[in-house]
Amino acid sequence: MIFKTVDLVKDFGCLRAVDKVNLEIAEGEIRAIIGPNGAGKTTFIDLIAKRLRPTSGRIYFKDKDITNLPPYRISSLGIGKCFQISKLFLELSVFENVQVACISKRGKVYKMFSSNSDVCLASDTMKVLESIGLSKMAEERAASLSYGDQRRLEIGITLAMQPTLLMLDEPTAGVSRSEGNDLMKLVKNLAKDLSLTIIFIEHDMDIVFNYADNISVMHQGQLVATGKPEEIKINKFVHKIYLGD
Amino acid sequence: MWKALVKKRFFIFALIAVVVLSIVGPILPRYYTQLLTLTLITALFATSLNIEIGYAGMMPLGQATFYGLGAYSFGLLVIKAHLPIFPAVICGLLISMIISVIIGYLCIRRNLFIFGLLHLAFNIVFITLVSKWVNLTGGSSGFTATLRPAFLSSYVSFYFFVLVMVVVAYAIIKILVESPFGKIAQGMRENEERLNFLGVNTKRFQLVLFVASGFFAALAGVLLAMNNNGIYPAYFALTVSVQGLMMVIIGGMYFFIGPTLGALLVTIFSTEVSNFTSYWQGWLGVVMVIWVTRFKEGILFRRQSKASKKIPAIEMNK
Amino acid sequence: MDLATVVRQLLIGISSGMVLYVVAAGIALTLAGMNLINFAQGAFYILGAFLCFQLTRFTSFWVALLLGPIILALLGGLMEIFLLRRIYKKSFLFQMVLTMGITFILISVMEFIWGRTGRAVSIPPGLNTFVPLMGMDFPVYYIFIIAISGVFALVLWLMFEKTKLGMLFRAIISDRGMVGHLGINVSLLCTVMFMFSIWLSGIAGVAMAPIMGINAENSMNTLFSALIIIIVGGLTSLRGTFFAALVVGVVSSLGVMFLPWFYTLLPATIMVLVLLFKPEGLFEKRGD
Repeated sequence: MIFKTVDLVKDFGCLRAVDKVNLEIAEGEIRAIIGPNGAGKTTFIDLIAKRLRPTSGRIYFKDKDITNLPPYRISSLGIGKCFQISKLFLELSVFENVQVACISKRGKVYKMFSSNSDVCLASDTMKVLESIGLSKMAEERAASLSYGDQRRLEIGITLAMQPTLLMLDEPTAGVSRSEGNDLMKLVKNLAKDLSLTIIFIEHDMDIVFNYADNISVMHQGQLVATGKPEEIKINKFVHKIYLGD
Repeated sequence: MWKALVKKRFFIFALIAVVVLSIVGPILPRYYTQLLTLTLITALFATSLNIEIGYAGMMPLGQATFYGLGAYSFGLLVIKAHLPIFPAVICGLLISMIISVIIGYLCIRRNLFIFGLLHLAFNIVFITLVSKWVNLTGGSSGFTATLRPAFLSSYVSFYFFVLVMVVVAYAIIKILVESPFGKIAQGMRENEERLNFLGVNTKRFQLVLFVASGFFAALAGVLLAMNNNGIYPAYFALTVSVQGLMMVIIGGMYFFIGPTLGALLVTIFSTEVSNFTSYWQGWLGVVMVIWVTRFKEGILFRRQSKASKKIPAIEMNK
Repeated sequence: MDLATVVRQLLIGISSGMVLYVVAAGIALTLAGMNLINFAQGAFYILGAFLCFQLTRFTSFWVALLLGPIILALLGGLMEIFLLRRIYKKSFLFQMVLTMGITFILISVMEFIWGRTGRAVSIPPGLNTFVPLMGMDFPVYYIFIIAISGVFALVLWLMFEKTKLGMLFRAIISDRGMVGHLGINVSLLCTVMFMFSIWLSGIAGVAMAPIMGINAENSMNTLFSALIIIIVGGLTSLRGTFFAALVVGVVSSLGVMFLPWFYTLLPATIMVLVLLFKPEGLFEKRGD
């Protein structure tokens, strides 16, 4: 088990958004988290990516308790997060966006007296850009990219941190079907090449059933089912949640 | 690190500027040389501000605090503690840095808005503190004393001294902003949250940036004190902070040389206008109002971002 | 020092606090409703006092109290329409530079018209008496100021809570875009809101004119005090601002007596402490 949550709870006042969720993910797995709107999926992923503080419960990564760590500590442990709404450095170029991540990864954040055109740094950056297929757009301003390319860049920035666990919040939201498929293919290939474990939230069931190894279903803040795609497809309770009786 | 300075366009431009200033300074009539000296000092102040504003996206609304801190730490060490000039400069700058660490630590809180207000609040505190603590600071009249070493007492030699100091300071700042540190700072400006998720402790980073910015403002303050041979509460005035902001906005905050241009314009404007009328601040206000409402960006504005820089020659596998 | 002196200082403190409340409320209003921090509020306050001086030259104080703020509000309206509207979307930085620019202009204009030496207005007859309390004579005018500020605080509260206009204001404060979609002319309302906040400064300025040395330089000090008050009170809460103003006013005036060396620092120190430990203001509940 590379990743585990134990009785994770998040309350917003008297609203319980995440209700005692126990999730376990194996190394190298691609896990999808699905559920109808309001099921608590985004809250859950915000909790495990340390954007929110849990009301109670524990989170473990590689057997280390990361429940109380601030966001900037978890990336060095190997957890990367892609946001639902791309958080890019909009006025910087594609190259610079990834470069920022590389600088941080290489521990050069406080290097005030080195040059930026450090050859090593540039090659790291270009490698990442190539792996996400954006090397031709290296000098474009991030803000001028198409939405789909921005999502790629988002993934690229996260990858530059060389995570072992990658979390994606609705990676194909807002892109066309074919672009979404390309994106997920990219993710799956990268997962294989870089031995990543992936957790992703999705609404698009085709994507989910095509790309996930295992699926977890959330409903009203609780984790109600986990299993292989075939199992979930025929799971009566899941049917009930989504389709009613 | 020298690569940052030796970038062709910048280096040539800088070289020309320094040469021109060196030649022009001594031959101008005294009034203009002194004006130039003051402009250089103000330009350093404005550039220090831009470290936070243009590069890191922070909002230091009360930078006069550090201007004054530099001047007063230095000045008081000379006047009250009778230190010789240059040791006083060094100790004064150190004291200013220590105080700026404390202030920075207290200011860098939850969000940008609170930071700006706190920064302003500290400015107000210091204004009041300096005017009222008569025993230490000389109160509203401050202190007038010789704050230059003997060899700098002529206006020409002082001009060259300031020129050298400012050039060196600019070189350091330029190296800073072109370094990985500077790149992360730009990331701060664009998306702080993302930076947090990329493993950067943004609060700590902001503090380091804050202290760096405060250091250069304090240096400018020291030079100011030397220039005027005195330390006065007016150094801390809110209007000084606002004028600094104005210089950054007018000159263009996304370019290294922007604030310097702004400083040039504002200083020349205020000095010339104040020769005509004692209501020069009102006219400055007019300029501020017109500028902010008409020209959203500065003189040097981004048509496209600075992002279109050359990527170092690496074999790109096509 | 005896009790009567302390009470007298308290009275002065409360009255100056109340007046500052009216000014600060104006800032809080525009901050909450328009996301605009108006650094020119202090200058408008002093301008109000000067207008009082000018108007009382040929008419009574009461007419000045009526007309002055209205003139000021009209000026504020012009300012809003032609200048402020352009920078609404801009950052705090630009707002500060713009409104400070306006402050500079106002200060210079005031100095130009009325000179640099302080001006004075005499206390209106009828209020120029003393009331014997506890063996000391208290100037009635201070009580008048407390009363009028109190009335305004009440009027403000009533307007916000009970009238349709107030409800619209509150709606804009919480969701400006939505209100726009409901077919309400939000820009016009914002102009009105702004004019109202300037009007408040005008009232405060005219009211205080008889007991202060009217000097353009005081614009900045007033601004500082008002800023301190709204920060301590919780930037956008009228109620919090009210109590903060009382606290600041009383602390300053008592401070003059007990800590003469330090008293001017007290408000600023309180402000810094509040910002550090309870940034939502002393009197507000903590939001998330």
